Amino acid sequence: MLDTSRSAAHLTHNGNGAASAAPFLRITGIDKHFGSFRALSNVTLDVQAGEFICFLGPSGCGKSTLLRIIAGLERQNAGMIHSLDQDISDLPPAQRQFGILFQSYALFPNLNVRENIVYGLRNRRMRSAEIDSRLNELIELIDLKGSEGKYPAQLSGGQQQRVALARAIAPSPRLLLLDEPLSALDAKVRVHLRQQIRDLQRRLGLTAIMVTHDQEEALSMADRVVAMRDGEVEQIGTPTEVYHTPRSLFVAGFVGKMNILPGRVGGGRLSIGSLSFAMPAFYDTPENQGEVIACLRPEQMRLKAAGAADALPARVMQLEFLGSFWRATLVVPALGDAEISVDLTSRDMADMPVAIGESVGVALPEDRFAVFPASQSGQVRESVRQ
Amino acid sequence: MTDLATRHGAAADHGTSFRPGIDWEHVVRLLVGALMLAVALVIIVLPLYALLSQSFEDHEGNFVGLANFISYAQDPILRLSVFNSLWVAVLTVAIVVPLGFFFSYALTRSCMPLKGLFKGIALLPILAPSLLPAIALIYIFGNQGYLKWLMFGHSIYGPVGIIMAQVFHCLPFVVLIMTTALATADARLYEAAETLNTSRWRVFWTITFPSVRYGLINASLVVFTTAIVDFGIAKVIGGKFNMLAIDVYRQIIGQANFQMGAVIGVILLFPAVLTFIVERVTYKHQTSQLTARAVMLQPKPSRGFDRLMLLAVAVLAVPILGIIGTAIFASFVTLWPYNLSFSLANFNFGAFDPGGWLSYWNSVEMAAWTALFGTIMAFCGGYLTEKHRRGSRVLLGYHIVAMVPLAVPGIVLGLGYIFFFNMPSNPLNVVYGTMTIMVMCTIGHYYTVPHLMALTALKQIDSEFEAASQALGVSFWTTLRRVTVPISIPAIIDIATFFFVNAMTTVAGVIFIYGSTTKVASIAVVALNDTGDEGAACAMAMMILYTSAGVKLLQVIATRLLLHRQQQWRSSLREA
Repeated sequence: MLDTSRSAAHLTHNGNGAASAAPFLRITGIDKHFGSFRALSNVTLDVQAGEFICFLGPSGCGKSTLLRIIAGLERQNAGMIHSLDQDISDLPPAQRQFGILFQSYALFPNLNVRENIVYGLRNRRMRSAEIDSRLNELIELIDLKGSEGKYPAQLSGGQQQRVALARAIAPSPRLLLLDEPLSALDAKVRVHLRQQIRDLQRRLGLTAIMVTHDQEEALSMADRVVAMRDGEVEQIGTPTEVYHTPRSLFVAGFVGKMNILPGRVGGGRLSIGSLSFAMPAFYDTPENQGEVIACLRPEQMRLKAAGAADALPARVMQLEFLGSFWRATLVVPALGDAEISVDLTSRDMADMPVAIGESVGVALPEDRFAVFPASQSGQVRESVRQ
Repeated sequence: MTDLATRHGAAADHGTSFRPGIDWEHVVRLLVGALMLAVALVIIVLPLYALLSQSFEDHEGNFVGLANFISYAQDPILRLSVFNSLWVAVLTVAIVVPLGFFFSYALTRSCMPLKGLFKGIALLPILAPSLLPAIALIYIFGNQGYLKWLMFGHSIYGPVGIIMAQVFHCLPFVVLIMTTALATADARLYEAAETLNTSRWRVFWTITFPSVRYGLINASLVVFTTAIVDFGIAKVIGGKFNMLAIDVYRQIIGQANFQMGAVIGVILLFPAVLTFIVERVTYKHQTSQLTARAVMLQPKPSRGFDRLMLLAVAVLAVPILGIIGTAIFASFVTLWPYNLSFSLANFNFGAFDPGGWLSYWNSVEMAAWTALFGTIMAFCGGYLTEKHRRGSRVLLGYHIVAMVPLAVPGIVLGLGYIFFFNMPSNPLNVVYGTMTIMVMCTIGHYYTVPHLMALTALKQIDSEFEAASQALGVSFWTTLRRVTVPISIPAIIDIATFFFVNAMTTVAGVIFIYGSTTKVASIAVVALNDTGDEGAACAMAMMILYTSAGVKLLQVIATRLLLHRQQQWRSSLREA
């Protein structure tokens, strides 16, 4: 297999004790301010070798700044960065040996594909035969054989980004940093390229950190997602953790669609409208007492026939066709006449067609509620404003 | 493929241990930035400081506060100069800005033929020293002028001649600013107006005019300042009419009253500083009508309108060509107006002036050095300012200093050079009277525009290039050499041409600091005109024009060839 990475992946894979003690990258207490604006405060994060991490958050949340600090392109005001127990906080970018893929590609327009890819190799005292074989491998890797002599202007956006990727990994970086690498591309190309990048990262055993504001991109690519808001880390977890058990209302609202209902917690029970049931264990915490906000994802509810035993009576107010599924807006009297959205697959719709104005039943999975203190209610607007 | 892992195995081993060494890039950046700032301080700020301090001192060098300014204000003759300068400048603005606007409107908003030719004609005066229209006007309307009867007994020597020459001299500035302002318009606004059945007149006042208002303010300010501080025109055609720039010259050269000269120099700074402030303020209020989605306005052919515009532009072109034509003709005749036979005698400069052809070659030499060093400085400085400014006080300081010359008239800077470089205590006074000081002064005088040209060109280059090369472990100077400079070549050629042409035509900047061996062509024109050798003065002025025009032509050809050769990769730069 092609090992272009200088990462310590092999150490962890070998189960070596020393390597598992020190994470590949340890970020501790990073602060950054521009004038009076706090871009980052007290960001702490460990990255394991071979991991694919996504920084996810709305624009202005500090995720790009954090990436640039890791790269050494910005200087943090406080905090440390260690790599395998070595302090790299003050190293200039060149000495960190990290590859970066930029949103704008940053391909040199006056150099052709070949010259762009080998740009970082030329001053490494590599023999030209070595450079050539390396170039051929990379060209094959990004599937651009025959285009070595073309200039960036003669390539499509997706091809340009692939050349930029080859250029970034050519000098065998220890870590690959991707700054919104796909946001300038068409939707179709984006999906294709995100699989390619992920595939390449796995095959080469690269450690990678990607910045994105696209939750779908983060969920589909990352081993772990770092959700950020206002310069602070809100949650670190696997995509399923972040999606199913968000730690704050902001994360809940930013990642996917949420139904948001006011509720009360007392004596380990959550009550919404006239309903009352046991508090979901994950959210049964000291701060979730009294007034709370309960959230439930639209795809986790099921529509049933009106009057079904395990369902609440509801009325269909709106139906929206969204291609692969339908989204129905219901009014549920038992929830205090609250409006909720429920997603129906095409098959659901075929099994039990519903129409606007009809009475139906809706089943709520009580253990799937996410619950947050009412004091976070301001975060709803923030996460939806994107 | 598999052997790659082993090949990189060696690198991987010591790749994980870092060798924190000196960050050479940082050191180089800091050193070059500091050097740039130091040079900019010497050629721009310190001479100005010397001028300012001189204006507060008496003959013995004691600090006297505002005494010099008070005695200036009490001198009725000098006071009159302020008034004269003001009304001449205001009248020049009132005439040239509408003319230039009209000219630009025809060039950008009609489908008249020969646009390129007429734009070229309107810009022609920029290649000539300001002395040229003044001398030519004397040939046309002077005591022996062929159109003297048009003056109805009035004299061309004085405000009338000054204003006429200023209009000629300033027209290119207005046309350059206004064609740019008028060229960018959102066609959708005009289409909306059309669907609402709006008259052409109302469309002009509600859409066109508001969008170019700031262009007009800018053009007016540029003309106003140029007219107040220009030295050459008033010197040649002003007669006994006193203006500020002339007063400086008289006080320094005529009466050796350096303090009073410094006072007038300080006064001359006011209009330009004012301009600078007004420009900054209006710039802030300027909201662009052009959004990313704007559709560029393409003028539609309209027979009547296009013909009318062509006619009007042609009528305006006549005096420009007339003035230059007169200068060409006068340079080739034996003795105007008595013997109009063809002769090259006027080009035998040695017969009129001891400097002879040397002044011309001095000019070329000075222009070449100015273009060389000025371009290197402006581009390097612009590069550091644009790409490495963040967090660097040195570069911020440099950027501010680089903006200063915009507000400093040439004659004021030249005066500052006398005070600063002539100080016996200044170790730099060895350059006094040499070509070096002339080149320094000319670079300093014209520094702002090239600095901004470099910034503009570099802004269009992806700001991530530096970050990308840093991450790839390539030093910034390698990327500068391999990527940034090749992309910027057209801008670099532009900057060099700007320096060259201005160095050829400048008078005011160097009139105080030339030495007997470094007299340049534009100074020779003044001298020849003073001694009554108008034919030779015309010939010398034309030599300057020919040389500037030649260099300008060379620039156009070189840029065309270059763009053609690099078409393959440049095509994308325009879209981005």
